[in-house]
Amino acid sequence: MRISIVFTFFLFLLLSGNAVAMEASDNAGSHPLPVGAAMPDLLLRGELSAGHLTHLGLKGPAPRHLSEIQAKTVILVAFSMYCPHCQREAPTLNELNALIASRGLSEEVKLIGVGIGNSDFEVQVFRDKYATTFPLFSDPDFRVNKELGEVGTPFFYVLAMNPEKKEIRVVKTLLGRMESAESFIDQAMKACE
Amino acid sequence: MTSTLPASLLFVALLLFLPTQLPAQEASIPPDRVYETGRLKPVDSTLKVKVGDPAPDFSLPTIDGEKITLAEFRDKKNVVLSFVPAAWTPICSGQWPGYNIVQDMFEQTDTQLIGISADNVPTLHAWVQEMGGVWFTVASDFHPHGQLAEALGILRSTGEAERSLFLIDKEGIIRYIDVHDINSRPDLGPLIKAMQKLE
Repeated sequence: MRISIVFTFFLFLLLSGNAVAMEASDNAGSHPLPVGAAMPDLLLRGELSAGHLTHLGLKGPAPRHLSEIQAKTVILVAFSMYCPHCQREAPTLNELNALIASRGLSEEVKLIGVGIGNSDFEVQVFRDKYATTFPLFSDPDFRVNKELGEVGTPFFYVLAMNPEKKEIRVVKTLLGRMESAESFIDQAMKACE
Repeated sequence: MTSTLPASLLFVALLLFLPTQLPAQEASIPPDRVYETGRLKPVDSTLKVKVGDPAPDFSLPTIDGEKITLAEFRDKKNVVLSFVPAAWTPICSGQWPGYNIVQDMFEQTDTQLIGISADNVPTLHAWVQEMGGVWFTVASDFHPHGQLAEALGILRSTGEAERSLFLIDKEGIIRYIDVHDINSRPDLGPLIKAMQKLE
């Protein structure tokens, strides 16, 4: 009896693990930065609305550096207009952004997206199609993704910003879709403590 | 024996329940099914047509078991031919799923999108199924091998078509050509803008 339960439990773990791992367009040569690593000060390019610029505390249009974003925590999601998992994740990303606001975290936590291999046009297609509520940057030549470790999509980096030490540190990563926006923000906030 | 029964039932229940949790629909191609080509010569053919030329007519079998011709769109719709080099290869497996979310842009500009490769119909069928299906027509330029690609001057010496885009207007005239570096995905922007410029 006990063995059967243990067996069933592990089978469940194995199968659900596979299901989660499949929810990404993984990249064969991917080598994400591990938790604890320093994130390079990425040059973020793209066309941002005035509202989004203000939200991030950026003066003037892109390109801007990651370190210029006014926040304690940046949740960076690497996505692509071409990735079906990202297309399906889009509503949950808006949900995540709404949760950040409803929990009163808008000042300290900023959610941004980077369209890996996507031109401004392609990022705009994604923005329009899914009425994306948070700032999206473009990465037409994969320059940002080289620094991110050539990750698959979607890929989440939770980053602790420390402007005094001029340091940005990886505190949590996730390849593939979130289980839910709620569980993700809980885990992200815990990782930041 | 009796004590293992609940666990066995749980096991069966799990087996029934789990498949519904797996992302069978709209999935991207699992990495282990994609053949890594490595870096290829960017372009390996010489174009035989230019913007302003009439497009050669064609009749190609589709994965729906039909035939598609250029002539059937004459005076009715603009046509975009999206050639990809081969099924089950890295960039191609991402390009068409992206076109899935811009169907409205093709409809607004009265443009028919046709995806083409020189693979045979069963291979294209399996590959498109694996990517969760696409809204546009997918046709095969397999036999005689790469005949349309050859007529356009985009058949590589190894038998694949170049990764390329052709926009043909309602009069059958080529209005936009992008023969792209085979190793990278063409930006959607210039194609859509060219479509929007047509009447």
